[in-house]
Amino acid sequence: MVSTTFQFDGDARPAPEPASDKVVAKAANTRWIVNPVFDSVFVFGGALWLIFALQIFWFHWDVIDPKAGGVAGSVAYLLLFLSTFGSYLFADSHTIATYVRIYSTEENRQRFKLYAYYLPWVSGLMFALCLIYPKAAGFCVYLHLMWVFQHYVGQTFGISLIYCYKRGYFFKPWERETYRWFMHSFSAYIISRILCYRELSPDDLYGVKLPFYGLPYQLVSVTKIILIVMTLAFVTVVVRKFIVEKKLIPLPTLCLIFSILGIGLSTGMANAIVWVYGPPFFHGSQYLAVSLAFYLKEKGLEEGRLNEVSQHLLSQFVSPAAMKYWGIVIMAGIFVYVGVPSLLQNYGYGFVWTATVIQACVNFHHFVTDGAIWRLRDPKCREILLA
Amino acid sequence: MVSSSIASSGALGQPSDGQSEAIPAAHSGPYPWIISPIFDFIFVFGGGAIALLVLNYAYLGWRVPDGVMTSPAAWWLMTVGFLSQHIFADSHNSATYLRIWGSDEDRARFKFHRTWLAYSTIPMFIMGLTVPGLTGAFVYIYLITVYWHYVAQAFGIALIYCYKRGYMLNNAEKEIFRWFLFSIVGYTTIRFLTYREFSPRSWFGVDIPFWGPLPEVFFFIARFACVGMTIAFVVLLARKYFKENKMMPWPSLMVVATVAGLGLSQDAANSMFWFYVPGFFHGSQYLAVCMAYYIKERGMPQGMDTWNITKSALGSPGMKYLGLVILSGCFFYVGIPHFFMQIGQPYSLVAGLVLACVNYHHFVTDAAIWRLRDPRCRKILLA
Repeated sequence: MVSTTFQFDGDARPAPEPASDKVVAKAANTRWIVNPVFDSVFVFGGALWLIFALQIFWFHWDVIDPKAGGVAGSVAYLLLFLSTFGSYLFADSHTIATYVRIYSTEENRQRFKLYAYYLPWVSGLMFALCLIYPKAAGFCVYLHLMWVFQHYVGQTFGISLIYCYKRGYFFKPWERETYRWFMHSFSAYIISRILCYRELSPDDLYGVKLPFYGLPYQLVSVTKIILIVMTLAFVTVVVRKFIVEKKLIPLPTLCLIFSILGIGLSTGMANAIVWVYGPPFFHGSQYLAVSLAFYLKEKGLEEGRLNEVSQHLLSQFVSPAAMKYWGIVIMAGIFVYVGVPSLLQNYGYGFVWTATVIQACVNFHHFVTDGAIWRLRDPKCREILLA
Repeated sequence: MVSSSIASSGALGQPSDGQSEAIPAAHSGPYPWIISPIFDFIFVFGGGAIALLVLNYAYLGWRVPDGVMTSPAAWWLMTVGFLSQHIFADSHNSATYLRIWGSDEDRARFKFHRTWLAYSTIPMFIMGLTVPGLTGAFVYIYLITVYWHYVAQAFGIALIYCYKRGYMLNNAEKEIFRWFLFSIVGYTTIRFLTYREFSPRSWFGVDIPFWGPLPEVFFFIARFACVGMTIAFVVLLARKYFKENKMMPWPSLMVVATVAGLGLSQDAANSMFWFYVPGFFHGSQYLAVCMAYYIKERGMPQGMDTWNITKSALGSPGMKYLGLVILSGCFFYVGIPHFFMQIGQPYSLVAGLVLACVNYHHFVTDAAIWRLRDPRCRKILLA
């Protein structure tokens, strides 16, 4: 998401000149994406870790069984319900939010022409290729398996920066680059493990047979060293800012960093649980929170009431415009990830297999497009995101 | 759809206010089609369904395609069947929602249908999930009423073509037309309730009850009434032809022939009709009318030319409308059953339940929203 494109020069505050003549009031620049409770639950990891804790508390490191009797069965059913409902509500729909962003206005359609009109064909062609050649499907899913973690880290980085700037915790360019490369080094370490260790690279993912290229183990050692160095550098930056500038890194930013570290470094059953609840209740929900807020604030900016929208975002989240937004992203998510696999079942393609391949193909477009649409160097985008 | 509520006093006449000023001289009078000649032929008055039936017969004989892998012809026919199901049949229910939520005026006017009637499907859904056998009963009621719904819609659309082309029916003629079609409904429904072989035991995995058999005498009466009304209708057409020198518009005749074929055909032919007609006749004609209404409703206040409004139905506004109803159709008929399957409910049971709940609301709402006696509705439908 916002991650790779925070490239403005040190000062993240909104530009002095308003991006639009219609702006009559200065943006509110609130400290939260929505509000403290909402952000805690849906943006910086609260829901993920609460559900994780609930599962560990009841079932320890065992698989849940909704058919079990008593309270355990009810809790297992609740967890099953949450994961299914969360997938529909947040995970499947969040990729569609990207399309709403690039197709929402004529200005956006023209600005993101490459992403709106040309790149989707690449995803479509890849999907067709996967249907014809199973090996292509394996490669796409394998590539997606690695890329997806980089995408998670990138989005986390971007949202954590939003919190920093909303709270006046500004990075100098070298500090920001240290932070960025700390995050990148973490992605590189996790991805290198998948590339090098057979036990961390699944042989079969939801029916899709995956390749394994078995790169030398030394690659993991190198990325590990870089990660350690970058971690030390980042901690130094944070401590230095605290001592020299008397500024403490915002709590939401820390929560985001620790959440993504937890997702990446977890192993075994913990990792499996995190990858059930993480996509809907961490990555998807935070993306939707930012995207929906952006959509509503963009409309607010056009109507000259950005300040009002920013200050009452939670109530705006249930406004008719937001409901329409929710309806479209959820229905389109279901169409892409349930409707199409369901249709293709009639032609002999397994439902889960097809859904996995679709996810990979759609996400390639989602990952690339995200890198282009959330640019804080764009004055209008910055003004809205930080409002 | 429009059917049960065409209750104007004899002649519906031309749209009464304002519209004529907006129409250039070259296109004065109501536009004779709902969308366009080719579009209407394929999607509104049965051309698509009949063509597919002919192709089906030519390549597969008297049998419904039973799998994509059996032959290339079956592959193509099944693909068309699947796509028409998603694009037209599943989505046409959602078009009702766009109608009742379409504008502030409609939201106010159809408040009952979009609130209490819609809410009433929630306890219905919960009861279907929790009370064993109830879903089968709901689906059975749907099967009993669905043909009536198809016929009512066909009647309404046939009337639209008649009035668009100046083939006006007086009250008596209109009632003969109406009761001719309803006599077919009576005949097929009583046959369904009298003979076990006409009532399915299972519907896509949902066990269906049989609330019969009715005494056979009802069936004979219904058949007699159907034959009598058919003769009356033929006499009506002949009388209008010889006395007024007017022939019923061929789109209306095709609509009547298709819906009669659906009800009166038997065995494999009936299965073939039911394979293609929900998508390529009932769903597609409903969507065509709703889409035209939706666009005209927004286009007419600016005095837009009817021909241009129709063109826009095939352009971006029409495609947006179609996209929205397809997405919501997929949500109801694929998304909801799949969600409940993932949390432990049988897919077929939930799919049947969704079908029953959505159509219960759809049938009742339809009877209220397509009233030609309502001047605004008439003006838009006949424009």
